[in-house]
Amino acid sequence: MLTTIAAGRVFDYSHCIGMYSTSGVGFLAPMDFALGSNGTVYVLNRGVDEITLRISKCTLEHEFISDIGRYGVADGQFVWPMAIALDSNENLYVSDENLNRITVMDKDGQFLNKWGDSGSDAGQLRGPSGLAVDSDDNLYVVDSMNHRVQKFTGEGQLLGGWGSEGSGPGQFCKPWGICLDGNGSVYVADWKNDRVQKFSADGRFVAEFKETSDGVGDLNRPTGVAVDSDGDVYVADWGNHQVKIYEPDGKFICSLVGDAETPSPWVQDYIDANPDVAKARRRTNMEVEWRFNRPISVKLDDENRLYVAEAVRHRIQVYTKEKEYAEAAINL
Amino acid sequence: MPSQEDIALMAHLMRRAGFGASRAELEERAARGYEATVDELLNPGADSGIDEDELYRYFPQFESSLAPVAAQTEWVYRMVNTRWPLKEKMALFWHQLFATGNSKVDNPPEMLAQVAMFREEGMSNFPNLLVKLAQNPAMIYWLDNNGNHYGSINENWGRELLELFSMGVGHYSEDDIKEASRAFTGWTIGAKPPRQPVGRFYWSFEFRPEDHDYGQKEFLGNVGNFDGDDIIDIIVKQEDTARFLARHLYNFFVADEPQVPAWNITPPNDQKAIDSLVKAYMESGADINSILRVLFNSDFFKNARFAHVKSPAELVVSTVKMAGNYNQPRTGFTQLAFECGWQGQELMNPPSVESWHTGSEWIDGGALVRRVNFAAKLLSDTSLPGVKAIVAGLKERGTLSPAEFVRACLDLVGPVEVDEGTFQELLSQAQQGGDISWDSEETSADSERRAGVMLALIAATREFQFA
Amino acid sequence: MASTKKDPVLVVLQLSGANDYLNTVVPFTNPLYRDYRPNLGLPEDQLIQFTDDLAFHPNMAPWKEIWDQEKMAIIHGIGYENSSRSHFRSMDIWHTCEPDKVGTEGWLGRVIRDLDPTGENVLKGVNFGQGLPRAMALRGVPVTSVSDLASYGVLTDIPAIGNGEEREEMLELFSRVYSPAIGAGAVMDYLGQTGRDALKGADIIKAAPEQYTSTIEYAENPIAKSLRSVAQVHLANLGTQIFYTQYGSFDTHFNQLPTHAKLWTDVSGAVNDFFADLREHDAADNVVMLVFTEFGRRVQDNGTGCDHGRGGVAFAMGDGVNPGMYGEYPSMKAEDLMEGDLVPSYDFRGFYSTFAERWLGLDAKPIVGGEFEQLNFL
Repeated sequence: MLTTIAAGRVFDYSHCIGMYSTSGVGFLAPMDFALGSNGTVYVLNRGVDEITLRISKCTLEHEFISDIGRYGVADGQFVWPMAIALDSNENLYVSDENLNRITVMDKDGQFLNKWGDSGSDAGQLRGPSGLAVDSDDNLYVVDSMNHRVQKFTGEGQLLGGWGSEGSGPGQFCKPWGICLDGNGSVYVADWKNDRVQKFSADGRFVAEFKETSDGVGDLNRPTGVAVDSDGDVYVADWGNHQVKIYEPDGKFICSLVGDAETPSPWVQDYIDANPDVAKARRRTNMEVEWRFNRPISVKLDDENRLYVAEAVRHRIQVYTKEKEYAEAAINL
Repeated sequence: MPSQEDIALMAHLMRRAGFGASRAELEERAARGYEATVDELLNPGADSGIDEDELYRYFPQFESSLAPVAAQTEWVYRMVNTRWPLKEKMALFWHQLFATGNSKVDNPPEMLAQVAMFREEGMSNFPNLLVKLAQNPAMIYWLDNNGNHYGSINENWGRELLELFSMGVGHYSEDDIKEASRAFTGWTIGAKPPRQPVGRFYWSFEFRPEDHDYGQKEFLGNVGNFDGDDIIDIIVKQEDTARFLARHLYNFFVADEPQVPAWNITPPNDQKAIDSLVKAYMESGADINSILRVLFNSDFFKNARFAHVKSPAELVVSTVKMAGNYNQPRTGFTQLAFECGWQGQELMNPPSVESWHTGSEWIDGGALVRRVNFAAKLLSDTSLPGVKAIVAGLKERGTLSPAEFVRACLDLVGPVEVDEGTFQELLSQAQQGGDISWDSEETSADSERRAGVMLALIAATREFQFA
Repeated sequence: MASTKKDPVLVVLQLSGANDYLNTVVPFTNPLYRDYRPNLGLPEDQLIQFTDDLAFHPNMAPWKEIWDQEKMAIIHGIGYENSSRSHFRSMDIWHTCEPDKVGTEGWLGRVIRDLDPTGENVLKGVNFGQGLPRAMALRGVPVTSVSDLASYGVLTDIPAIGNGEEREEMLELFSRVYSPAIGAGAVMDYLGQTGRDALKGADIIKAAPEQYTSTIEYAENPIAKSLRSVAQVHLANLGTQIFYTQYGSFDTHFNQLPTHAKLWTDVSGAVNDFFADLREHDAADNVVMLVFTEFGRRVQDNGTGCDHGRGGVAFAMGDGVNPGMYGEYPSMKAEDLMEGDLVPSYDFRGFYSTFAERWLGLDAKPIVGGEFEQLNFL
């Protein structure tokens, strides 16, 4: 039940991390996350304004480390954080679409730097969203309300950019997430155009991932994108509550719908401490809990494990991928 | 070019059938005509009036938080920014009539789902709406219909359906309540996963045949094997129901009536108006849109300007719409939601199933101070887009004598009508600064400052408390 | 005991969000405490012991002082039958004394009505906080709600008007436009009266901080600020007999250890400073404080916090209080718990009745809706 087999690939639900919480262990309205070294993960929680916004630093082994940052306009604070990315030193870059700035922190949450001016001129930002760091520690910033992508040094010096408002190739409508593949190609979740566009590192349009002839691969307000080492493309299909997977050439492979049948250990602790919650879970079909609800950001690690953060379920589901899978005989 | 009277009438319509409108919108609508605007208001699109993708992009907490204030904030956002003002206003009307409170339901997403149902169904027809209400999980829980079982009835829903939601006290018997309750046995809520610890899940309506009383009932003189739908069918055919709903609509949209508990003994302020709404109800088969059309196009409505004390939600939302500083996603909507509560209308948490008392009962000392300060602060801030537009409107009128200045301010911020005493006081204040002129940067800056002060004073008047 | 000359004053402090009983008054010698609290158990060497087997939370040292001064009563196992685990519902029940239906009248609203039946003094009951708590709501009973004493009043905090002469002129104008006018109608008259009353009330209450001096330095946090405001208004002798304020959120599902510690640092310090302030002004003898929360929290911790429970703990404090402990700490044995919760053994309406009758001299029955066991802390 928890395995999706398609086109010679297997996507197996492994486990999940997270639970609903207003501080400490758990997340609240995660918008994005970043995978650090030694199994560290930084989860960017939009929270509910003043009180629950924070970056949760924890490990993939469910160990909570610390809460970083809080609501506000001062250095190291956030109002509407959208995305988080790490450079090669594991410094944190966080975009804030309200303050129109990028904040830089070290991995312990110490404030290092901030940059970004509000506006529409080259180098200025309006609603900065998705972030991606390239191998030279330069930063691609999705400048969402300016309908473009801009590339900066880590210190905020403009290196280039492309895009304008529209629906043609290389144009955007309120784009959101972004990622790079192993060759430095750039993928942008073109949110309000319901597609993902692929570009060369310098912004030349290469391809788009959009509707399929039968409709099943259609995207509805995609927010995040990731590419594995085989070139398969994973899209957080926010509006459809799915993750869509495409072959490198854009051919649709399959959808994942969420499989979190086994709760995270944090969730399990909570259930164990609450007999009435345990009872309430027994009296109903829990399948609805397994399924994605607002998958918003997708990431891959070095072993092609897929991580999917869900804004409304406050967790990250983890999938493993197996290639060249030989099916068992059908008459077993 | 619409006349001053056209604009004043349009402002009245938009205050009541919506949450107010900017001067530019009023002029535009007045140019299209009153009846055309009524038509537009009565025929909103099928959508909710808000781009929900944008809404949840900027406010993910609206979908994911479990806190009451997140639900209240989402609703305030919708009231301020909806494309379909009457649709949203009707949601507020039904919320005030079918008062359901989070103090018991303790489930803000379900409360919001109930409001969404009011938005979707609130302009359809009354029997349909009552069936949806009877099947609404928040309502089922609020009035204990999940505890209403075959052979062991709980009368709470049956009683309030008749007393507070349709016919009004005195038009049915205690036996009718029992029989109605029997008909709604087995109308309950399906189990769902608990909201903790991975976030919200929604209830659903569930009909349990084994818990339903299929036996014969006698209800309001009718005999049959009635179920809930049949009971509602009988209820909506009663003229008492038409009168009850008419009086609620009149109280909400036209002019303040005595409080509901007094309706049995106090006749309506305008019996003829109620009669015409009852007629529209009976002739249309309880079609809500048809009744509203009669209401908004009637003389009794058009002549009822400033005969209704703004509810806190009306005051808060119409003031920020006037100030123009909340017409897109931004921070601070939470404060608006709190403000409604602090002024005495905590959305989705009325004090009881008898709802808030309206009219002058919205006002006590604390609430009045809050209302005055809230509106005066916003409308005196000449940096806000809506206030800027008012100042620009003054500037267009050129040099103004103190009296012209006061009249122009009253006009552009409403038009607001004040009594002679209030006018004289405002005038005496304006006279201290002499004429308003715009001929140099200095005088313009001073005129702008004086406009801010004058708008604050207008916001502080008694008259401003009325819609 | 209260002086016969001064009117008795009741200060109600609501700990919003459900304060954790077990980690406030800690049964540290009970091995079950350690069993149930593997993650939240407070280290024994940090606890502030006050009896052989009970201790305060480590951050409650100021309350230990109050205990040592013999000015504190601890009411164990407080709650009501069929306790609701919903904050909203339970708080409503505590506010209205209506466990079986949704009530609209607040118990303190009824107290204020009975203290001042003609509603002469709009400052008879004063709430510090945003919006009026339902406990004080009763139709026709004027109550004053102050979010911030420093900026309370009509046309405050409006940059275009400022706080100087211009505002004074505006207030005079406000008073005139709210004056009775012939033929204005009942609603306009009512608004006029309400506006002028509000102006008057604000004038009176705003004078309170101006007359106030004190050597007590309250901490910088909202509850300290609220209680300082209570002290200021009390010392101004405006006839206020019921004060209300609240602090929170004590809803520690997650991350309880640091959160709960901070809350108790703030609350215990502020309360102690408040009483010290009153004593400094020789104004403590007619004041008692009632401290409550809507329910206690779950016995078993959930990893980093604990969830909604039932039986809780309440406090009464002040010179007039007969100190000590009232009632029994509810049993923590598995077979005695209800769905993992302490079972309340004492009805909060008896607690309220004790204040209403023995402190305020009122007939408690109509206030709390029946007859309930009173305790001897007063």
